[in-house]
Amino acid sequence: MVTLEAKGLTKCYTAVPAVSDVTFSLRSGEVLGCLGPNGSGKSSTVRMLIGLSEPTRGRVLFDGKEISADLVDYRRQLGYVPEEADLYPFLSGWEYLELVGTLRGISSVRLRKKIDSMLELFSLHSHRHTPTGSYSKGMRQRILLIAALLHDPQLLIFDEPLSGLDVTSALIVKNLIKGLGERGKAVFYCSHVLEVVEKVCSHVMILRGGRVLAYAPTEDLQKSVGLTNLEAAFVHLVEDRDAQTVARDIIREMDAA
Amino acid sequence: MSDTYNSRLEPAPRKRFNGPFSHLVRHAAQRIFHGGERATSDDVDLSVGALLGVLAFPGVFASLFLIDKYGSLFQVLRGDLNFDPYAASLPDEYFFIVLSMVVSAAVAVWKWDTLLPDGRDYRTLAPLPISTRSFLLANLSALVILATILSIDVNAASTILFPVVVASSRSSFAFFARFLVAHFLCVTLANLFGFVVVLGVLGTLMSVLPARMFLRASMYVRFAIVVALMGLVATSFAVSPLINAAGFASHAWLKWTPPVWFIALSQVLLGRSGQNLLSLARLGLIATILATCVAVTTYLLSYRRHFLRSTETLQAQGQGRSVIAQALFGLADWLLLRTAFERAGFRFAFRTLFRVSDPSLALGWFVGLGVVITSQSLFTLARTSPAMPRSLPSADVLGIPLTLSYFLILGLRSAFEIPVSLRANWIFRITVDPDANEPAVLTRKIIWAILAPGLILICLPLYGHFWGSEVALVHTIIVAAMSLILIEISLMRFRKVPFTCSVHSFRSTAIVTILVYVAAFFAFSNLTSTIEQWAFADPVYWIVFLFVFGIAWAALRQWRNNQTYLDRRIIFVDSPPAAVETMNLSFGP
Repeated sequence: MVTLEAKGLTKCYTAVPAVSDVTFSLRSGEVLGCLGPNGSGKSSTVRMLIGLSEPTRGRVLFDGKEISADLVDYRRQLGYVPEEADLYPFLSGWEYLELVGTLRGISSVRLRKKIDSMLELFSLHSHRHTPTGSYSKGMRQRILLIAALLHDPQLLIFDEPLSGLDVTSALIVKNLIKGLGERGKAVFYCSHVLEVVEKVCSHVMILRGGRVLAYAPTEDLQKSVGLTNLEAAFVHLVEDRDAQTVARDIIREMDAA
Repeated sequence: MSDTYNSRLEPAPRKRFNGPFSHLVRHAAQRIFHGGERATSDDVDLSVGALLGVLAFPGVFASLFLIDKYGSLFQVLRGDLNFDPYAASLPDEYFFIVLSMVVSAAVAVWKWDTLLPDGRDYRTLAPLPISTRSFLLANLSALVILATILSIDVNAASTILFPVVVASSRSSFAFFARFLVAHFLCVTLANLFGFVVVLGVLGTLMSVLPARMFLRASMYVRFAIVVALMGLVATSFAVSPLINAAGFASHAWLKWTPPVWFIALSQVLLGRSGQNLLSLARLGLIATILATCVAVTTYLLSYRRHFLRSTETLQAQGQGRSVIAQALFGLADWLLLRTAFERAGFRFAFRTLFRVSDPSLALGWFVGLGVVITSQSLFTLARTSPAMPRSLPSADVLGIPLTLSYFLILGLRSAFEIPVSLRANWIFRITVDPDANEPAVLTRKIIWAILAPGLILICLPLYGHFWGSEVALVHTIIVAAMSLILIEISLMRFRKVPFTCSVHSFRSTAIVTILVYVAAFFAFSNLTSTIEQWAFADPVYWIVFLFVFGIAWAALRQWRNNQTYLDRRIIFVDSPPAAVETMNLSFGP
């Protein structure tokens, strides 16, 4: 049973805070979806959660202990998929996973078996010796997913894991996230794809302008704003502009001489 | 009336420089300067101004350095009243020609991956309504512009300053003008020659080899060119005294040294013609024209062959796992590497070093310099004593592995500082314990893994063959011991996992560092080999060795013991020291 808690997280790069007073908790078996428009503070929050940037104020607790007290131990139990698929382009998929697995301290025999079977399951085995620099975005994303799962972490933080994935892979990942939750893992899931969040997340947190606009179990959130799906709830809470009107304006602008 | 008014508002030349073609040329030039699809070392991207400044510096410095040689007052003070500026300027002219040729070739080697449009260009530009011929012309134009800017930048200072300095010994404008024209033509042609030869090699390889093989061969070819360029630099000191009739008669190889063609051309233009000089000057002109034709032809061929199929070749870049590499890594795991961090870092460092161009080229510059210095020793040795002596090796011979070790160690140390795909280093940041793992330990093992096979497989058997097993064993131990000290010194304050840390481009101590490197080289190679030679002749000198080694080792141990954990902690950002530092004495929430 693990718990990730954020208490009053605030991050200031300039005078205006990028993240302001974000508080939530995530327990084993829960999948918390983090939603928000561009610039809402999702990535800054994720960076603080994984300990890549220090909060200006507030704390991140894992199992009741501040993560900064023993960042290395915390990261041993963390699997992370970043938003940008930044891999070493001159390493092959196999070599990259070998690097990550070795750094994670997995024994070489176990690691080899695990990499091979994971690559097979993610349909990358035939490309395992190709440099990741010539992978498509979806392929790179799958490598990152494997790298995050190799050491069987207790806590998973996914930042847009479906970006660039084909339909089959996206379906697999959606089911995988659900399955991870069911297996007792704690999953923090950032995404723009509302239908996916609606389907796989037990809880939802909506950010806007760095602040938490809503944080509740997914079903409760829809009920609280009196709408039937998450997309409608999100638009109701976040968007000032009507999407149809903006689309019409764009078409009108294209027609203009 | 309004038409006239509008045409006044939009002058024709401005329109011309803002058209699609000029944008394409600008795009191609930017790709060449800032890196293309395979660019990975994101933090070594010098601005154009900084790059041009760095390239112009040697010409300015060398010209000013020569003032005291040509100044008439200095000649009087030296008592040199029959000073012949033509003869005196020959070695300097040769140096400027070599400099011009080497710099342009080095820039072409450095920018090798970006000289031709790549897959990213194809994917970005192919959907646009622009013909492939326009791409090609735009790239060629960008290359011509680059070569011209490079030529002007490298040679501008010497073209003005060097003739001014030389003419200061003669108060004649005609002399100055003639010298200036001859110098300008020769350095410009040498510059062009250096650039087109590299471009020609690139184009030929691309036209002949399959894409996958080309990618693999590129690294080795570039490395070889770098070593050859270092060899050319080394000729600056050896060739100038040979440029005369007697020299040409006794050294046939001079005819095939490209800078000699251009120095001959300069002499012909200065009116010092002779049959040898004339034929060499003609050879230089023909070689430049030929190299330009080959470069343009192969450029066109490779454009058709690679660029237009770049999206297909990108998909076909797979490479199998090397069984030999796996076996060697396994051996290193068993012999050297103790922790998971060391095993992962070791593999990562080797793969990066042999696959990414910037670190391997940096290493190539150092190793090339070592090879050049060593070959000069061997060349001198071959001239003075053609048969290898059987008694005891001379200091020059003993110095060869020391010289190579010195440049290899410093080359590796410098290459490890170069950041590669910095944005991907997050994986190290979230998986490595910065307090429990010491980068210096890992780096030391990597350097030994490269150096030790050379000592055991080359140095030991070679010296054993010529001077017997005892001398070979002792000498190998001496080289290993001195290398141990050098490695430890070079890794003091080293807190980076190789290739994963940013680097700040300007260091205020850079000049001091270079001077220390030069002094350290003489101490490490020349002094050590001299004392070693004395010790072979008189064993009492071994005490000196043991004493120096013991002192150095004790000092290094003391230094290590005084380090705190903060001095060893891994860093991923190497920021310059702040001009003003706050002491953060205030307390508060």
